[in-house]
Amino acid sequence: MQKHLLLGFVGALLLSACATTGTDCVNMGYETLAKSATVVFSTGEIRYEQVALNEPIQFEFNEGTTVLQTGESRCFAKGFAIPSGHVPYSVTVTSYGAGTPEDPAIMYPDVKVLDKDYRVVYSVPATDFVLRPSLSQQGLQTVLFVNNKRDESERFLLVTNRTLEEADLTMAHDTIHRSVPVVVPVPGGIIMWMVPAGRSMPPVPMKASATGQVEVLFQEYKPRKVGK
Amino acid sequence: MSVTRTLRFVTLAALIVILAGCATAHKQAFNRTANQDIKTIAMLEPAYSGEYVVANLGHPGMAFGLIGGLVAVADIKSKTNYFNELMKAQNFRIVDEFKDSLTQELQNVGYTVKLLKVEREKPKFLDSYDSLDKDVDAYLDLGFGAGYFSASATDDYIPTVRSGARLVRRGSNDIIYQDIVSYGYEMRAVEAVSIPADKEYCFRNYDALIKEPDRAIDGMRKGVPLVTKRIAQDLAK
Repeated sequence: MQKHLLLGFVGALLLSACATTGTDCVNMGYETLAKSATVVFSTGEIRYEQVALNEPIQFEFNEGTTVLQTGESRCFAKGFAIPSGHVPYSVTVTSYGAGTPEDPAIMYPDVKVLDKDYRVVYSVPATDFVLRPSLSQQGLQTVLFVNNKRDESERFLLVTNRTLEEADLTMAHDTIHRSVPVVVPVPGGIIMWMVPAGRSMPPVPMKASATGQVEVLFQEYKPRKVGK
Repeated sequence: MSVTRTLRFVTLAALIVILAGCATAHKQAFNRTANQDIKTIAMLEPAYSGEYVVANLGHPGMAFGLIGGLVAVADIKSKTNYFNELMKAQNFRIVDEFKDSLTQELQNVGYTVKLLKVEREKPKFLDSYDSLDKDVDAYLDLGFGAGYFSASATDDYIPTVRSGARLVRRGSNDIIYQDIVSYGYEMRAVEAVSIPADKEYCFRNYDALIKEPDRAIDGMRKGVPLVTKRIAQDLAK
């Protein structure tokens, strides 16, 4: 029994040492971006996906994603057709972190609203993105509102990856709540306790990756009332 | 759920409620276009326990059942009490600095702000705003907490300043903004907006924390404008 516990503990340690670092994510991501063959040269050539309200859309920027090339510069691009109708919507865009707590990375989204001619009418400022960790991972999130004006200036949503200078990277700080087994041999067997051994990581910049997991959610703007 | 997990959950839940001043994690982003008519905001006196919580959230006592859990809670309470005596001796009232800072930040983004004292039965958002001053466009209800947390007996104590904020439109009672903004110690359960604290304000252990009350104050004080600026940015027209 003691040998099995020890082997399990060592195995967990080895596995954690093999996790992909943020640096690896960034390098692999930009390699994928450079090699990608699905290239378009204008926002009008992108395929804009129809969406359903209140259904989260999860996707990844990876080797299968369309690349938008402008001059020498390339970025992954994903487009959505904003639901028609004349009610306001909120659009929540969340990019999920990757890498390790010591070396994290994340795809920094660039979110734009386009008109019917695929021209940019609004670009979400970088300061509108906030770090919002969930129980399982770090997330960079923004919420914008599409107010569905009758002049058709809000027809499409375009999400691309953003390149950032080091000074503009978001600082992440992970708190890892975990327990470790403490085994004490006693006459006739062992006693084992799970002792809290959590750790707060110091703040580290989240490197800008070209690839990553993203979620987009369109919801009708209907504020709750107090007491409901 | 085991006894140990129950105790840990109860402690954590109590701390989150006290610190955030709101019992739910409902989020509502502010729609600037739909709320252009909001010009005057009544900022309510924040729900605040009045004390700086100092807690080891991975207390070893939690590994030893009900008795161990009770020992952990007693230890946390004792550390909190002593730390609060130190802060009282320094005449440090962080909630006053928070109110002043938030008022200024909201004015900077174009709002007229009226401060409103309210009676709260519990440290949470009000259940009704109907009896409040009607000479405003919306009520900004707030929960507030500050202190120091550590993840385990061997980990640093990290400052925390946290505010739950809810903006309610007068008359319709629509919740047009609600979020939790948290500086310092990361608590993922409430999915708050998270702003890291500088390593400079982390203390190796509780003894190091109480040895330098000035630096402990600076660690919390640093978080106030970061939290208030974020709330104001969210509400910026």
